[in-house]
Amino acid sequence: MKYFKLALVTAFLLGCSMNIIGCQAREVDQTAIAIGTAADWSEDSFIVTVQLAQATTQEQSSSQARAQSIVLSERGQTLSECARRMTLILPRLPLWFHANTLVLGEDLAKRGITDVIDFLSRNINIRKNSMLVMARGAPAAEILKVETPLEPHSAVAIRRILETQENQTGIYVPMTLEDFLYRLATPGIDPVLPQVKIITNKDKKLLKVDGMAVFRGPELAGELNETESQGFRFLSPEQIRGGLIVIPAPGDDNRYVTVELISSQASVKPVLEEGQLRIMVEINAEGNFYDQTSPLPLLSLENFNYMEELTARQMEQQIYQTVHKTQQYQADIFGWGRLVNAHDPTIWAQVGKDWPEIFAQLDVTVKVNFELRRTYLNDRSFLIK
Amino acid sequence: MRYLSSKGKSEGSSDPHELINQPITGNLNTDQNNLEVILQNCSDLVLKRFQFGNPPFEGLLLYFDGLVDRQEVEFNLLKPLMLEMDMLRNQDGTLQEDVLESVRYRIVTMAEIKTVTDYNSICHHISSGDAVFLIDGIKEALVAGTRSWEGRGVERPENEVVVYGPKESFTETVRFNTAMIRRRIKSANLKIEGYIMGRVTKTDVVLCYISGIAPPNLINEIRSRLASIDTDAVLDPEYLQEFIADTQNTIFAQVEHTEKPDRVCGHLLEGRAAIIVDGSPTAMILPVSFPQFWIAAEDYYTPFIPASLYRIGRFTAFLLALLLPSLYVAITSYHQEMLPTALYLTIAAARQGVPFPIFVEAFLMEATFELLREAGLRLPRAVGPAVSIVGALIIGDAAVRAGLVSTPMVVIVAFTGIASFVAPNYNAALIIRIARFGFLAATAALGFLGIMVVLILMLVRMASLSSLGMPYLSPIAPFNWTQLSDIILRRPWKMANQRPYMEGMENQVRQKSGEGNA
Amino acid sequence: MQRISSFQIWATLTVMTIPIAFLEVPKRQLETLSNNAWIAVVLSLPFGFLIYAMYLFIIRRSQTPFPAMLEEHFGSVVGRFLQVFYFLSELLIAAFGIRLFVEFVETNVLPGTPISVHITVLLLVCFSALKSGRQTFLRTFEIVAIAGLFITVSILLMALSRPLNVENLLPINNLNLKDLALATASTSIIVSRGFIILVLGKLASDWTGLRKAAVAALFTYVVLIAWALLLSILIFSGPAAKTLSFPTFTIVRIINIGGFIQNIDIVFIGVWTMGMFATTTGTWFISLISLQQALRLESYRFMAAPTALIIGVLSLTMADNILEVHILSEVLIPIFYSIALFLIPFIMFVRILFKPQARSQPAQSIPVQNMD
Repeated sequence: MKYFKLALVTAFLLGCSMNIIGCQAREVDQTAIAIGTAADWSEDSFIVTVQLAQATTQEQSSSQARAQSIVLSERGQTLSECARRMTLILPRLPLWFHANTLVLGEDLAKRGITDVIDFLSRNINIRKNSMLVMARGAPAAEILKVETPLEPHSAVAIRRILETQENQTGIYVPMTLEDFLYRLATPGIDPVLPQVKIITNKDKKLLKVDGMAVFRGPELAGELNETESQGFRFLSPEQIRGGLIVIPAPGDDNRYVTVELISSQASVKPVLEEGQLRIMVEINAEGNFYDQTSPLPLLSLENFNYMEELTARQMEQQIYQTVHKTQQYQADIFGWGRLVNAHDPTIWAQVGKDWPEIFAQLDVTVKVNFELRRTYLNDRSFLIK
Repeated sequence: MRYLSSKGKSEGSSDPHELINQPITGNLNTDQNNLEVILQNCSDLVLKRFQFGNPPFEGLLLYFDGLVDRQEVEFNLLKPLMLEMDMLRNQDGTLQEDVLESVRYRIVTMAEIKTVTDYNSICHHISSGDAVFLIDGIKEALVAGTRSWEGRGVERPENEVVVYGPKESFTETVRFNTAMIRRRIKSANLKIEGYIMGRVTKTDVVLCYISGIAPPNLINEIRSRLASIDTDAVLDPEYLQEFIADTQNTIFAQVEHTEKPDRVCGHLLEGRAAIIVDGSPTAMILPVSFPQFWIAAEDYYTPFIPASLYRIGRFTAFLLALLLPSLYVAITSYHQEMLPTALYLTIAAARQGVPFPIFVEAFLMEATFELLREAGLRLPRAVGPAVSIVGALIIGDAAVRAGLVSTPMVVIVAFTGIASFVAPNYNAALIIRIARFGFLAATAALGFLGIMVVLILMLVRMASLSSLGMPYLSPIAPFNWTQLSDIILRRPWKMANQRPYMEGMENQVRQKSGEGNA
Repeated sequence: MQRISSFQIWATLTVMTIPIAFLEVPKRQLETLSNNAWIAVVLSLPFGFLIYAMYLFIIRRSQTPFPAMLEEHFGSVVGRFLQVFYFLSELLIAAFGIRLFVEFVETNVLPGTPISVHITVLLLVCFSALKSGRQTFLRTFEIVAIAGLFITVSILLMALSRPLNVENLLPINNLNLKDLALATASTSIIVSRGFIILVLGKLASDWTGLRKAAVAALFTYVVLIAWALLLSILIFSGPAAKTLSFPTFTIVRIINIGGFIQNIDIVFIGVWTMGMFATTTGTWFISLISLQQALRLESYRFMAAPTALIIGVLSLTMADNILEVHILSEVLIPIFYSIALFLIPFIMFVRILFKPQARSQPAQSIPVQNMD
């Protein structure tokens, strides 16, 4: 009797599980991997573009042409609707959570981020550590269609570009969705995104990261060029590593010296003087002597000091340029409002409401201390005898 | 049988089933006839009548051919009797009063001699290989220990291979096995209790333990369970296991089997008991808890740091062997976000064109692997390697090329198979092999949640088991910090001052602490 | 009835308090206190001490374990009535826990599966544990506590690899004391889920071990929850974390080490399932033994099957949507905890304190049912 009961229960469970099997399962060959997503606005509706990765084995990929990614777009009234409508043209279920790059279209940004922010934060398929960029000069869909050298998928290429350039040229600060949402939700700091443009090089289209888009709250306010973007990077509160700064060579204004940035740390303090709020920025940076185009012997102690001065002035000038530009846009992308709030909430209680205007009038003092350390393989400049 | 001899029972009826319980009559002719009836149709029986002494006594010698050492019988039993007849006379020439006494204590030069009084014992003893000797006029028979037979020599263990350490394994003769144990533990406290079990087989079963270390109530419990066994045959300790173990309807083994005497000794020194059955080279060790299945004997013959690392590797292999196919099915079917994108692309590429859903594929591959394994056990030596290469490699490869299964699945199944061989104990490997399918089925239904559910159910089941009173999952649950260090890592001998604790243990101190031996 | 080791008691208290709190508490504290939420959790340490001290005092001065304790201190009639009340209220608490689990899993893990499947599966597992008896499931709690703690601590350690912004902790000055008090209260009341100590305390093998286990469980609880909360604030900042429904879960989602260990939320969910199993089993156990004591039954195991149905139906009909679940969890359930898990023991405590000799009923005359 006991075994009969056991058999009955087992049969019942098996029967139940037969109904449940695969009720949520997504078979691998019914899915398509979304590598990159782009959201844009045109002609009164949203467009979502997805770049899908095609799964090919080793043998197939070397013999086939490079059709390894497919780009599709769909329209709809909300972003979620567009994304789901993709299944009307795509015979597979797109797996959105692998899309680590999100491209926002210019028109969408101009219209205002408020429409899409809920989608970006609530949807479970969008990972908060995806990279966010803005498309400038072309619809976001076009960005995804460009073929990038050596990387089969342009979405991955954008991400890699942003990651690699941080240590090499050190101009742009990559922005993740997490940072972006943080900046939107926190009073006293405004969002900023790197921009991607399409450039043409001898009939071949390439993607280039060029400039940063500045937002005032959820509205697109303006743009920073390369120098200003680097200035923004200098002001970031974490220690930054890597990058290049080009200064005019001492003693020869037509030639240049390249200085490599090893590390730089910015410390920002808000100071209240006579009822006026001032921001004091102090940056301690160090770098290596990387390259000179001048034939003069530059590596002497006094030249070193001189070059340190030049670099520091250059950095300060870049930062001032950035600050002025953003003050024009009234967009506090550096988070100084947050800093004031953290430093002294009573002041923030007074100025918080009008922070954009107050930010535009802020008096900023920047002081950079730069130290040159090493000179790589040559101790002295190479002199041709 | 009964109706054939319906002419009624009488003294000396020729029904072997009744005769066997009767005592020896003392009349040698009657006895010989009775024994011939009882042991009719046994062509290996040797019955020899002989005379000894002056005036001659009649004697009857019986033994089974092939079980005795003929030299012993002839030189130490027949020769003294037939030639030393003078010892039967007293100094004044009269016959000794007690012929049996003289024969037993002074004439026969064998070391093992005893007397029995009924045919049942005679049959039992000659079946065990002793020679039985009856004297006319005496109602007792003499049993001489002349056991010797052809057996397998002491060889390397087949299933428990070690790199370092003793490589002797048990043989099928219980006495040699106990000798191997006795040689290693020279203490007088090593007790080897003998039992005879099985109504038909009458097998010798011994229970070994070290009194003073093993808890007395454990031994009493084992004794009472052994005493309550009433079965026809005991051919292997597994027959006994069903009667001794606490719970029957479970896949979790509650005893440990081993072929190596040094392992048995290690367990005896920790307070456990071993049961050895004549006719089987496997010893059964109880009580045992689940974490012990993952301890290999070799750990104690290697320095403790590598041994601990290997042990941790074994635990990991256990988890992998149990969960890897299910994890693979769960992740690729339900939780694709866990995989890095490049890996998922590779798997997707490999799975193109495969007609089965992943769960079915996994199930088929696992079942095929089990089939291969079973078949491999029974292959004759000559064709074994060839067939296994054909089976495993070529079939697997051909299946992949035909597009029936995907390469990642083959890799996973092969890896799981290898990982499941890591279990030092065959019974533990059985658990993995069976539970794996349960996990697969649950995963197919519910994904990762299914894995968790089956895992918890398995845990609950294991927690409810006990092996002769010792909780099955100790020392993990109930948690015992000192014992745990010897399960997960191998505790160096200097730190092992106490034996693993069992309820009722008396002698827990193993060594003096701090006095490092040279 | 067999003795319980102090490690088992620690493990039981840990798995009873932490699992639900780990997901629930950060959200509630962040809503009231934003970036100072962690202070409330740290402040709940002394209050937790007081609660445990009260429980331990009650255990010391009683001669019977929990369900019979009510009869001992309140008298036969009131005691048995209270036992039935506990039977129902612990069922309710268990049902709420299951509902929370199901909501969470539905949102984040398997959105399409019908809720009844999840509930059935969880109830099945708890049912099998209960049927196997107290010793068995206490041993399972040990394993769940060890494995769960180990994995949770590893996950929290891995979360330290994210960029942490210490400035998010400021400003501290504008702390509203009333909010702080409310937040501390709501965190401390979770500690009273360690109510099961009143059942197990009398069966513990030694008194100092019991005290140490209680203190250790309290510390484990506070450290883990405070750490999780601190991480949410440091990683997301107070205002951003407020918008998330499960901040701790979101932390787990964003862990990304070297591009390889990523999206490990499913591991966390596995651990959390084990924790939920343990919590539900413990709560269900208390409810069953209360009824057993009230009706003087021989064993409580056979009641597991019918009460499984009750719990299942209760958790399904408890709320219509997740907003109602939030209202329940923020308003109704803390009130319920306070009454059932705190107020009544408090009354017992006061009774013992002020009328030490006048027991309502000599303890020997109360037949304590077998809780094995």
